[in-house]
Amino acid sequence: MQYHLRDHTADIAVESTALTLEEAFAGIAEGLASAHSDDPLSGGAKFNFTISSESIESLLFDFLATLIYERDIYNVLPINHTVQIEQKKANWSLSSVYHGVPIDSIISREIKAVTYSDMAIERMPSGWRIYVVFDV
Amino acid sequence: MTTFETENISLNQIGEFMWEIPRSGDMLVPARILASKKLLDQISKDKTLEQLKNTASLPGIQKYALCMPDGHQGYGFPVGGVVATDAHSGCISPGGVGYDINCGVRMITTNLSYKDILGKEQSLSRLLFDKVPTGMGHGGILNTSSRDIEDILSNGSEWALSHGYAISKDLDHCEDGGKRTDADHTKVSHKAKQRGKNQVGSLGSGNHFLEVQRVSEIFREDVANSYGLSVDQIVILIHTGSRGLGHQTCSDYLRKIEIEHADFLTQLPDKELAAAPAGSELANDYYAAMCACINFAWNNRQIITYATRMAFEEIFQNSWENLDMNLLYDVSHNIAKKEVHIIDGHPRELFVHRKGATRAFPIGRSELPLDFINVGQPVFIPGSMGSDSYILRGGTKSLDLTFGSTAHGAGRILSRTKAKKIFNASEILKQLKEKNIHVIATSDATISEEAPGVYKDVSEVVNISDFLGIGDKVARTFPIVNIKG
Repeated sequence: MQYHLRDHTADIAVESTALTLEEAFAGIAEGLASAHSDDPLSGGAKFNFTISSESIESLLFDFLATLIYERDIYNVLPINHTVQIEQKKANWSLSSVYHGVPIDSIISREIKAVTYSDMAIERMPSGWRIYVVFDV
Repeated sequence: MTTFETENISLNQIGEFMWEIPRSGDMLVPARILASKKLLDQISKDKTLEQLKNTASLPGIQKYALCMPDGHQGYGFPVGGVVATDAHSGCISPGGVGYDINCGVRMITTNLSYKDILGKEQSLSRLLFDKVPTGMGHGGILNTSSRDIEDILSNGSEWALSHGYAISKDLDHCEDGGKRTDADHTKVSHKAKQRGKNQVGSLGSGNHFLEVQRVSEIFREDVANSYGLSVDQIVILIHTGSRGLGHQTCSDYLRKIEIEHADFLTQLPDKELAAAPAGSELANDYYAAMCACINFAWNNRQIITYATRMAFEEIFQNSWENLDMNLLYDVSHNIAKKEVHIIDGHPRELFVHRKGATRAFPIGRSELPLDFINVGQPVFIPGSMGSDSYILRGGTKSLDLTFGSTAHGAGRILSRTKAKKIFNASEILKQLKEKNIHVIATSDATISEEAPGVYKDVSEVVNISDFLGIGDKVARTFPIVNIKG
């Protein structure tokens, strides 16, 4: 799994590539963490949640939106993500496990929200590619 | 006719600093860009023009879709976009407001002059940084209960007044008196309220800031007198919005609209243009929730005003009342409001979406406070870090040309990732200190990303606004102290 922060005029974009869809989702989440802080990120307590959505794009949106929500509620930066995705007809579900680095232990800045802008979830010959723009 | 060509879009120049993309394809109206050729060159380099064209396809859109001189790429709507839709037969779009609902600016005036602050810049910057939480995870000035949040969502700055953090005149000089009466806190999700509880009185990060400035030049003496401005005067500019509560609300309603109006969304070129039909339950719910978030943001800026007053009291060993620390005005630049404008000679109620654009109402407009009805509405255009900001007055042509709007800032030209590679935070801070500008930020990344070179020339944006008569130049200010996240 790989992720990169990409150029965007006013905000931040993250691109991830991975062999599986779950790893690509996890890659975007790691990129989101990286967009928050330049500090080396490790440790933290374990957190988990489960969500479901009506499409793969909305699942990705809801997954990242939930991470941002939990960041503010628990005051932690989510890292070290493990994601499981299941599709049953028109319903997509996702289970997430991550570690939360306490915000007050790092220098960080706020990412406001996930957007649908230019969102891409693509199957490639080598796996999956995901691209997401975040509002700063 | 002079034209401007990009790869896919052709613009006609229809006047000085006015360009138009003719109606074509799915566009219901033309799209207009207010810009010099130089700014248009910059604007055309990202997706701003394409996004502007897309907004012209929104149901019930009136006259034209607009992009202000500081426009740049956003999501769905360009930042700097102004779109007015019929409030009864059109639609309302959360993307036309933005995630940071009621991000806006307020200016506080004082009776201090530049010489009063010399030697105190360092201590003032440190005290303000201590008193006003910036960045992420540092809480808010106040600890609030769930009940407080509901009251704030319902009552805006009136909450601050009833709890001793404001005076009546602060509300008089705030857009809408600091309270949207159409707010309904029950339309704001529990998640959003949870996020807001720890953020009452906080700046956030990105391009938000609190800046102590001095007035360096007056352009219109009569208006400056009415606003209480004079050369060398110390003023304070506060730029922030509705924090996580607003961001969550925008996300919540984007998803609700996506689920409820999936068919309609498939007709739109961009999901972030998601809109609810005017008059539908969802449109009414979003409007009520948005108004509640607007209230939260006004209260947020008011609480920061209180903390700023306390900081100045401590530094200058005098009460803020004796220092005449008064609110000049507070105005939003991410908002959708029901306003009446003249369309084809008849008054019509519209949703005016201003995303990275500021209301700029001229003399005589009834929404203005009594103090400004015969002067015109104050407008604040912050420049980039370390550069001039401007105070404008709503121009006489604004209602005709831009639904009573003007720009909101300088507009970015360089991405955050590129800025971090080019600009070293320590170097930037050193260069600013050589100009006696003291900046404290929670994160070095913010300093690099907000470096002066990443924004357009704000004076060019302001001069175009002045030339077109949508926002008249009143005064210019220069930074002394700046705190950010």
